[in-house]
Amino acid sequence: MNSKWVKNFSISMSVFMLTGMLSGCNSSKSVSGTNEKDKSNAPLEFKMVAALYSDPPSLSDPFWTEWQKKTNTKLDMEWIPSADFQTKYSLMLNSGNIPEVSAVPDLRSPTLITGIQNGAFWDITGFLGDLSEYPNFKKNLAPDAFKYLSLDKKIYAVPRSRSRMDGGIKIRQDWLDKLNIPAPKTLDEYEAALKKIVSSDLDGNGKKDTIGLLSSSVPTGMFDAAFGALDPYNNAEGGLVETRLTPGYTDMIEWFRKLYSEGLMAKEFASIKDTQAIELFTTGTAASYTRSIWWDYEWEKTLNKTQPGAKLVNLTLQGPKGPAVELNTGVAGGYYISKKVPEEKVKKILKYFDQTASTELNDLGYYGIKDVHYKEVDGAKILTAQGIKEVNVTSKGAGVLAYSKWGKVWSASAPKAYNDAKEKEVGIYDEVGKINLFNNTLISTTWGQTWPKFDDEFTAMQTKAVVGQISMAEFKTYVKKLNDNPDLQKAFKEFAQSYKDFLSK
Amino acid sequence: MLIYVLAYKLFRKEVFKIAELNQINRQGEPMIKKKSSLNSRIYQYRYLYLLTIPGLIYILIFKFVPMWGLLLAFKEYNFYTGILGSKWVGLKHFTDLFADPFFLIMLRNTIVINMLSLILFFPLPIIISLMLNEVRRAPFKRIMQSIIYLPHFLSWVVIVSLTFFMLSSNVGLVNKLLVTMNFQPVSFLTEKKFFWLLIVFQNIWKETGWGTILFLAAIAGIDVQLYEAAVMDGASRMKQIWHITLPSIRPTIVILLILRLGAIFDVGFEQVLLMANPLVRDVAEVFDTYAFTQGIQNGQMSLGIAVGFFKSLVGLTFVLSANYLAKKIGDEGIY
Amino acid sequence: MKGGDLLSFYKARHLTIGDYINYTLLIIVSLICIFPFIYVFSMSFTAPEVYVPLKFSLLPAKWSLESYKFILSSNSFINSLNSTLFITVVGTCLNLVFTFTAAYGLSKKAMPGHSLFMKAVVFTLVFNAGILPAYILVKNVGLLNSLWSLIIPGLTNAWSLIVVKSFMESIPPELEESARIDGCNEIGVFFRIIIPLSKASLAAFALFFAVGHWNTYFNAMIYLTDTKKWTLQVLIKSMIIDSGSVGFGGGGDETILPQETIKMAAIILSILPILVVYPFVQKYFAQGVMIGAIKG
Repeated sequence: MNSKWVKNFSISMSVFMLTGMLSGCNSSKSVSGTNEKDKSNAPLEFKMVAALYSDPPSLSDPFWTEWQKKTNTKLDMEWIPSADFQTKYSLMLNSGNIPEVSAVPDLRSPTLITGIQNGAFWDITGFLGDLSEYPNFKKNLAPDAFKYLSLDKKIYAVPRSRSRMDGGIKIRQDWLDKLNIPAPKTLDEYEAALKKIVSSDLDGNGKKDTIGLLSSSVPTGMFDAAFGALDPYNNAEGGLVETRLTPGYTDMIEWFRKLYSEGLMAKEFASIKDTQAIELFTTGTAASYTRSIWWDYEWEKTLNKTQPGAKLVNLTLQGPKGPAVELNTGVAGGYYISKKVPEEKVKKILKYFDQTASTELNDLGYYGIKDVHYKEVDGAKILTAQGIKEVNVTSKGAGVLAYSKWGKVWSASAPKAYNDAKEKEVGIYDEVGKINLFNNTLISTTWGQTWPKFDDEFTAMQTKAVVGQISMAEFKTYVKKLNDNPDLQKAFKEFAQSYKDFLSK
Repeated sequence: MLIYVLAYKLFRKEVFKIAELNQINRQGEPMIKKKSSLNSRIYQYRYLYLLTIPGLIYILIFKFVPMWGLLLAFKEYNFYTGILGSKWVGLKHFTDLFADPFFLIMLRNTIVINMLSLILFFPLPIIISLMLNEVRRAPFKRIMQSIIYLPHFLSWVVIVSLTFFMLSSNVGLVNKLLVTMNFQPVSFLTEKKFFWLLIVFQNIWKETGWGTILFLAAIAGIDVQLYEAAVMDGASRMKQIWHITLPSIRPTIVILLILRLGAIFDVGFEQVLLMANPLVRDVAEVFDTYAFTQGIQNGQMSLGIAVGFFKSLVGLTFVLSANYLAKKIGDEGIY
Repeated sequence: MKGGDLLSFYKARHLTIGDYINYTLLIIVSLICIFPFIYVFSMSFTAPEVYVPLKFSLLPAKWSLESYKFILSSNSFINSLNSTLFITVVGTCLNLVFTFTAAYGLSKKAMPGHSLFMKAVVFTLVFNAGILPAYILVKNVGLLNSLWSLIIPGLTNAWSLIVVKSFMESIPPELEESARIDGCNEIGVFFRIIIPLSKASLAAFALFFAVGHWNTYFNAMIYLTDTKKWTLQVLIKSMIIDSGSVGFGGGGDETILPQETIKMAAIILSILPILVVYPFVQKYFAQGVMIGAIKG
C-alpha cells in the first residue's frame, strides 16, 4: 500500500456523502443555504457536496427514503464524479461557493488546508466536548479518529470511518504449492520464493516471463513498515523526519534495488499504470502484488478463467525492523461544516452525524433494507440486485458510519466462509501494523510549500536507484542533501510539533 | 435568423439606392472612395455590423471579461482574501519559474515535441486528404473517411493503455515479437530516447484522420473547371495536384500553420501526464504538466496562471511573427 | 460541363499504377486506424463473465449486451441523453450562426474597426485566463446549473473564426460583386452567396461543434450541479471509476461488472453520433460545389 496513493491527483478515497437526496428538491439551487422552517420536529434540511462513485442515485429510491426517514432529514446532495472531486471542489472553494457540508475525501488537499486556516469551516472542538452528547462518536469510531482530523489541536470535521486494514502483500498460493515452497514469513524467504517462481516456467509457455513483484511504481506501501520507515524518527535538531527521508526508507530502497537486479520485479514497472497492473495480475503474469485485501475473491475469479486453481493469500512478512504491514488511520476524509451555517444548525448537523455512526445506520449504509436490498443466507447478508444498485460506495458516504474493522477485508460478493477465512488470514494486521502519520495527519505548512518542488525529483531518484540507473551512494547523497535543506529542516520541526499535539490530546 | 430576413426586407429600398456606390474591389474596400466621416462609414457598413456584432459581443463578454484572471499571475491568490485582497507580488512567479532548475529542461522538451510534431505530423493530414481526394469510387472514399476519424474519439487514457500493451518490455506485443526473433526486448516506455517520438506518433495516429476534415472541406471548394481545363491541356494527375489543388488550399495550410504556432507551447497535457513516469521525467516535463501539478494539485493557483501567461506571450509572439512572414510572401495571413 | 459530368469523366478513366498505390496506402492507413476499434467494439459486446483482460480477440467469446444495458439502466440515462441531444443540436446551430456571421464581418477589411476586432480576436486566441475566472463569470451571469452554461460560454472561438474567415476569403469576390449589382446589401450577399458556397466549411464546423458538444465532460462537470442535467459523458464517467483515479480501494462494495467492458461500450456510444450523422454530411465534402456559381 503506497502512501503516495493518497496524494494522487484524482480523488482516491472518497468520503461518502450523506445521500438522501430529497425528491422534492429544487434543481435550480446553486448556492448554499436552505430555508429552515423552525418547527422542532421538522426534518433537518441541509446541503452537502460529496463524491460520486456510481450512477447518481435517485432521491426517492427506497434506500434514500429510508435513510432520511430514520435520520429525520431532508438532504440536498450535490454530487461530483469522484475522479474530479478535487478539481471541482477547489473551484467551488476558491469562488466562495461552498455548500453547508462538504464531504472531503483527501484531507491533505492544500485548498482544504488553506480553507481551514482561513476560517472557512467551523471549529467543532467546542461542540464535541467530551463526546458525552455524542454517544456513537464515543464508542463506534476508530481509535484516535478525531486526532486525525485536527489541525493545530482543533477539530474541524467528523470522520468518514473506514477500516484500518486495507492493503495486503498478495502472492499466488497455488504457485507456492506447485513448487513446494512454504508461505514466506520473512522478507528473505519472500525473496527466495520469488526467485524460485520467476525461474520456473509456471504458465508452461516455454518462457521465463513471470514477473515476481508487480507494481506500478516503487512499491513502498506496506514494505516501508518492515524497514522502520514508519517509526517516528528524529533528526539531530529534534525535528521529525518525513517517512521518505528516513534512513529506514533508504534501506528499503536498497532492498528493492537488490530485488530488481535479481530480476524479481517488473522490468518497466515505472511505466505501468494502476489498471494495467490489475490486468496483468489477474491474467497470471505476476506472482505478487500489493493491494486492498478485499479484491482477492474477485481476482481469483478472473484468474481462474485462464489459470484454474489460482488462489491468493496475503502475507505477513517480517523485516529488519518489524512486519511489513501498514494500516490506514481509520479515517478516510471528513465532513466539514461551512462557517456560514448558523450555530444552532451546526449542533443539529452534528447530532445527525452522530446518529449515522450508530450500528443501526451503519448496517443500513452497508446493506440496506432487509429483503429489499439484501437477503440473509446462512447468517451472511448477501446483496440483491437492487441492493447492488442502490447500496454502494456512494451510498455509504451517507454518514460517519461506525468503524468497521473488516471493511476492506470482506468481499461483498464472497460467501461467508470465504470471508471468515480471510479474517483469519489477515486479522493479525490490525495488531502489528503501523500507520503512516505523514499521510493524512501531521501538518506542516512549510512542508506544503517546499516539498512540491522536490516531489517529482524524489520519485525519479528513488526509481532510478531501484532500477540501477544511479548508485545507492548517489541516492544517499541526495537524501542527505534534502535532509540538510534548511526549509525542510524547518518543516521537520513543524512536524515534530504537530506530532506532539497529536500525542497530547 | 428571422430578424435578419425582416431587416433585409425593410431596408431593401434603401439598398437599391446605394447599391452602385457600394461596389467593392478585391480587398473589400469601396471602389469609389468617398470622403466620409466615421459615422457615415459606420452607417455604410451597418449590415455588416449587424452580422458581426453578435459574435463580437460574445467574445467581449465571455473571453475578455474573465481576463482579469490574468492579473492573478501577479498576485498571490488566496481565496479567503479574495481577488482584491490578495497581495501583489509583481513578477515573483515569473522569476520563480525562470529560476527553477527545470525551466530550461521544460523549455527544451516543449520545443522539441512541438518541432517534431510540426515536421512529422502537420503535413500528414494534407497528404492524406490529397490521397483521399484522388479516390474515385465514392463509397470507398466515404468508408475510409469515416474510419480514419475514429481514433480521434479515443481518450488518451485508452491510447496510453494501448501503447503500454504494445510496447511494454514485459508484456508488450512488439517486444514479444522481438523475443521470438531472438532480439532483446526494448524498454520503449522507460528509456528517454523514445519518449518524444512516442508522443508524436500517438498524436499522429489519433489526430491525422480528424485533421483531414478541414483540408477536405478546402479541396471541396476548388472550382472544378480548373481541373477540367488542366485535363484538356493534358496535365497528369500529379501535375493537377501540384498546380491546382495545392495552390488552392495554400491559404488554408498557411492559416492552420500560423494558428498552430500560436499554440506552440501547448503540448497535449493529458497525454504527457499519462505517458510520463519517473524514469523519463527529464524528457517529459513540460509547462502544462508543471502548471497542473503546481497550480492545481498543490493549490498554487497564481503560479499556474503565471505559467499560462508566459505560454500565451510566447504564442502571441509566434503568431504575430508568422503572420508577418506570411504576408511578406504574399499570403493573406490571419489579419 | 455540369458537376455530374466531371465524375463520370473520371470514372471512364482506367485505374493507373498511381491509383493502386494510393488505394493500398489508404487501406493500410485505415487498418491502422481501425484495429483498436475492432477490439473496443468486440469487448463492448462481450459477456462480462467470460471477459478476460488483455485477450485481444476479433469477436466476443460470448455475445452479450450486458455492458450496454448497464449504462442504459442508469436512472439518469434518458435525462442525460436529452441533455446531450439538446446541447448538441441547439449548441451546434448557435455555434454556426455566431461563428459564420462574425467571420464574414471579419473578412471585410474595409469595415471600420476591422483591425481592432481582429486584434481582439487574435488576442483571445492565445490568452485565456483559466478555469476559475470562467467559473466565476458563469456563476455571476446566473448560468450555473443550467444547460445553457454549456452553450453560451462557448458560442464561438478565435480559432474557428479565423479558419472560417479564411475560407470565406477564398470565395471569388466577383460573385459578391454580381450580387451587389443585383441590389443586395451585405446581409443579402451573406445569405445568398457566401452561405451556399460555404457548404463544405459549414459541414466541417458543424461536425467539429457537434462532436465537441456530444462529448462534453469537463464543463458539464463543473457547471452542472443537478445530476438530472448531466450530459452523457459525465454520467458514464461517474459510473466508471476511471483508471488512475482510484487510489487504494474505493472502499466497500464496488460494481460487480468488470469496468473494462463498460468502458468499451462507453467509447462506442461516444462515436455513435458521428457515425450516424456523417453519411449525411459527407456530400458537402464532394467537389463540384462551385459549379455554375459564376454562371448562375
